[in-house]
Amino acid sequence: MKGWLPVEQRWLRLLLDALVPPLPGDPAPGMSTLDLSAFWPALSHAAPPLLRLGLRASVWLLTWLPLVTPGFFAPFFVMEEARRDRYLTTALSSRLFLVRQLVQTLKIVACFALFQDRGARAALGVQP
Amino acid sequence: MNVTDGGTIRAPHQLDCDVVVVGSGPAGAAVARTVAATGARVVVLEEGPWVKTADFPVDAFSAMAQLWRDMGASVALGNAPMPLLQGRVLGGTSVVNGAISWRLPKDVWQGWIDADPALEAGLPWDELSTTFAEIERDLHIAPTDPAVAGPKNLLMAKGAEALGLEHRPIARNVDGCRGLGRCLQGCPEGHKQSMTETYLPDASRRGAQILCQVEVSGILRDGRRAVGVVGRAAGGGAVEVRADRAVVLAASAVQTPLLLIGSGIAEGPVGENFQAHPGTSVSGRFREPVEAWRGATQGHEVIGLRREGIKFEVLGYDAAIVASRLEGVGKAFSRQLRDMAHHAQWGAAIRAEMVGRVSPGWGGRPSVRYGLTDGDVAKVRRGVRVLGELLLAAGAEFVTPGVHGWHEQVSDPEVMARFEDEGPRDPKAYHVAITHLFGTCRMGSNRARSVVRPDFRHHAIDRLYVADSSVFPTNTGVNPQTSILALATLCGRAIAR
Repeated sequence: MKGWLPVEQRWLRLLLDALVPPLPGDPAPGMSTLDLSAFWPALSHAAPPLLRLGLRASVWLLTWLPLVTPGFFAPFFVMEEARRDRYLTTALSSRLFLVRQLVQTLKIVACFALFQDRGARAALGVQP
Repeated sequence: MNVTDGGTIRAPHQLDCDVVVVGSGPAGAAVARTVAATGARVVVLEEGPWVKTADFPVDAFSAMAQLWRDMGASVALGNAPMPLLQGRVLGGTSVVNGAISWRLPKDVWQGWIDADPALEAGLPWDELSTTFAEIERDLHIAPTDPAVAGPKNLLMAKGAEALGLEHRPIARNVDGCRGLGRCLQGCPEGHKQSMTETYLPDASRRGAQILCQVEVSGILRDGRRAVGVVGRAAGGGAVEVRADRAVVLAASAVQTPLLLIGSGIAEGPVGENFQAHPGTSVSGRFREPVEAWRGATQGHEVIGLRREGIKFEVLGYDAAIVASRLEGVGKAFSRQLRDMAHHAQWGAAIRAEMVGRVSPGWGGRPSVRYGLTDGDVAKVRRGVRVLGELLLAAGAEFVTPGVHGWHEQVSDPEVMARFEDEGPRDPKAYHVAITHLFGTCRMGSNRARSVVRPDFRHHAIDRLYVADSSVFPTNTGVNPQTSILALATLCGRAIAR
């Protein structure tokens, strides 16, 4: 994303990879296997300020919130894969509307990126 | 169709005409076509780009980035933030909507007349009815052909039949639809009879000049008379259009009041009385593939509860949107993606009682204040319940209501039936988006309570007209495109007189 710090971009990528991971033995890609080099500039250009702000807030909050969340007590980037999965599942059903919305925002962005990729569409049975 | 691209306008550009129309969606196109037919010199200004039929994208992200205002991520703020969907492209929302056509229900019209009998002179039912028939002929409006409906639409018919709810194929403005399911990304074959396929080319043939990528920033005045508009082209050139007879605002119920306020024309309740149709959806998993992204985008509706203010429609989107509504994250979500073809999503549109407000916000962007009343949330609860029951009656193995704090999956109709009582009262528990925007320049006879007169003229400024759904006194409870076209046609006739 334009104007983001490299560390924010890494956190974003970690979160997206955890949101849509590849499944073992399945040909369909997860986020980590997609080339998003064209997607981010397009999103930066098209997204309104509130969405850009929401996306950045998602990255910061979901990276650091687990540090103070019972059962996790670590920032997102140091957790191993299964705990990341569990943390995002917890956050998605948080009683806090803001937390739920931030996960949902990331999820929508992940879906946009995934289904913009023709290879991913084909692998998931969506033609063209 | 001859369209000047504002991207090529780099130097100051001045035009003279009889009538300048701001906005090229259904309202602007209908006014332009009607007035141009009388021989008047018409200029149409559109903020968005002209995306040609062959260039409409396949996927949701590309479509939302190119064709939708703010990627469909503008948000109305209130007791639950809700995305607000508007097109921003030549042809306006007609390019990216589901092609659903409804005449303005007579009971809604009657409500307007009962509240302000002077409206009948501007909106006579007989003339409206004739105009609806003309529009239906022009835009090839007809019930969805079962041959292109696809499973998601046919299943709704089955569910409604099982529950004994009144239902029907949706009447749509399409000609030769093949059921590609891409209405919301722009029909790549030009079968949807959007304004770029119909009224704008008509207006162009009749001499109207159409400019896209020109953002209008102000209304020029000579005392209490509107004489033109100013704006800026995407190429950087200032644009000034002088109009001898009329300045017509048709920029939507969000942008039109902002243009008035920004031009110092703030008389009357401009920006007040913002009304809409909030909508929510429920997903159902069927044993057989449904492929919600295929078949007529929105081809079937349940209308048995319309008079209660709830209407049910099949939803058809690109797979990206279908996926984003599936439950879960992580591995569970990845597994759901592999099963996505089996999920159908149907929606409930609410005739909300909430009245909100549009005003200039941060950085010149619109600020939309709008929430849901308790009564609206009750309708949403009823909507979710009926959607779940419809899906189960149609054969869904389970439904995912998508409501925070309630069951993630329901397969028992008796459980679903309890939702109306058990469902959360907090609007934040629901996924709600707003479509169909109305009322911010309400039409009426009382200048303290309305912005334009029953003949669409501004109460305070001569030669200034508003033609879009801003003038609707209330929301309609049904998809408004045909009503907007009809009222704007009447506006065009009023200008021509």
